[in-house]
Amino acid sequence: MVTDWVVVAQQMHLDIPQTDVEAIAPLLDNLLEAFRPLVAQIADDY
Amino acid sequence: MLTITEAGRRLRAREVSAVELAQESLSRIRESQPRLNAFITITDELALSEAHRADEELARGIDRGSLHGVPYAIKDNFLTRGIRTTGGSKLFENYVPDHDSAVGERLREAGAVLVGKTGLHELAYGVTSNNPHFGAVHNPRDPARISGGSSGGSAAAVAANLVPFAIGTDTGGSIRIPAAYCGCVGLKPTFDLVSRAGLMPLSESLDHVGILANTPGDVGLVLDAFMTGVAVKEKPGSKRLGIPQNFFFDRLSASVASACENAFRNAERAGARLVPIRVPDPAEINVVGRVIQLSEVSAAMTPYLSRRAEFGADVLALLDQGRFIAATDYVNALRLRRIYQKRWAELWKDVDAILTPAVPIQAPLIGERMVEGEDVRMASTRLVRPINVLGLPAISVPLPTDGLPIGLQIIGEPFAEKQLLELAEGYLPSSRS
Repeated sequence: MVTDWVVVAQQMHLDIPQTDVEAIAPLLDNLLEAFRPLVAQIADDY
Repeated sequence: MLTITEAGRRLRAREVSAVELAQESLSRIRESQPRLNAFITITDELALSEAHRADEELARGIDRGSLHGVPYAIKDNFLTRGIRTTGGSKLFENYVPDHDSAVGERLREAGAVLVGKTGLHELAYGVTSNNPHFGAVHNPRDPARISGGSSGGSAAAVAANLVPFAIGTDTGGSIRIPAAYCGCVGLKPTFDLVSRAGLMPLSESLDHVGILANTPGDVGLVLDAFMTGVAVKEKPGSKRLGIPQNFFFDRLSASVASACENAFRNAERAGARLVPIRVPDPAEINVVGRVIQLSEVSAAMTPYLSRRAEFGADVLALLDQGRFIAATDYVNALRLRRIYQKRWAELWKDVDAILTPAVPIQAPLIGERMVEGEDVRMASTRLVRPINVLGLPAISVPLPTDGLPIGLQIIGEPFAEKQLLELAEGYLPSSRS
């Protein structure tokens, strides 16, 4: 797990059971790992 | 079931009445339910009442146009006054709205006859229509297989000839995927061309209302009913067909690749010019689309998120993911969307439309999670989701095949719906035309 989503859930006060958070954690990591580098393109947005 | 055109001709020739058309449709639906489960609610009483009115009007010389007296079905995420609207969800299993969707109102004004509400993936949030609360919608071509989704019931109802046309929604491919898997025509128009008023919201930046029918011509007739007073682009003779050299033809099943190749050769023989092109990165656009969709759906479902036991497992996992997306990521995804839209807008200088497969595989078996080493949801959406992010019109048309249906996707520039329908009829042999 790249991000500790269980801790994030606690900090955000999300009522999601820990096992459910652990199940989606790799999906979130993969998605954000693919997404965040794309943001560098926004420089030419305006 | 007749096409809209043929039904209209026979109605006006007094060879058949609207009541008889409605009765035939209702009878077929009842007969098919144990096998297909395409409908959540069948609206016999309303259908016969609307059909009687249609007949009376025609007898008095009142003709509301192409859809007058023609039966249709609507996905069960459109509000219907006095008729329950479930969204395929346990949360709304007893919800009876007090007003109709804009689309439903428009179709009533056009004289169409509503015969029922079609099954869908729970909350329209998935591609199988294997619904944990209302049962799986089965594929008419092989009931052991999924209909696709989320507009699975609408596609199954059209492909099984239960109705001449049906209304669906498409947030990440939810019209084109089931159209391709079931073997009918499915149009996702330009973003917001067709009103979303009275649609249960899923993802407000990506939801599109569209049409499923058995021929491009019939889709066009329904679109006309929605387009009163709206200017859509007319570009007769369009025949520069872009064939992407990146992304869209990667990882296709052999049957899909072969059917597309045959379609391209046929289009060339019919006079179209095939133009090899490279398209701005659809894989990146898919990532952007997933960030937008996860965020927006979880936001829309906020009032219900604590009722965890009332969601199916796949939908709940998606809703949970959306709650973790940071606001900055969501806003940046919307900004990236505009960048990709600008990049794709450049393509229309060189081509009139772009051809791709709608889905890279044929309909999976119900319950099958992986096909050819790829998750069914990811495989089903990867060629269609980018077009939702871009907001472009796209149509899936069934290609001739010896086996399960295969859909070809035709993508156009904004408001080029008519052009896409003409291309589908003029240059591409369909298995259903």
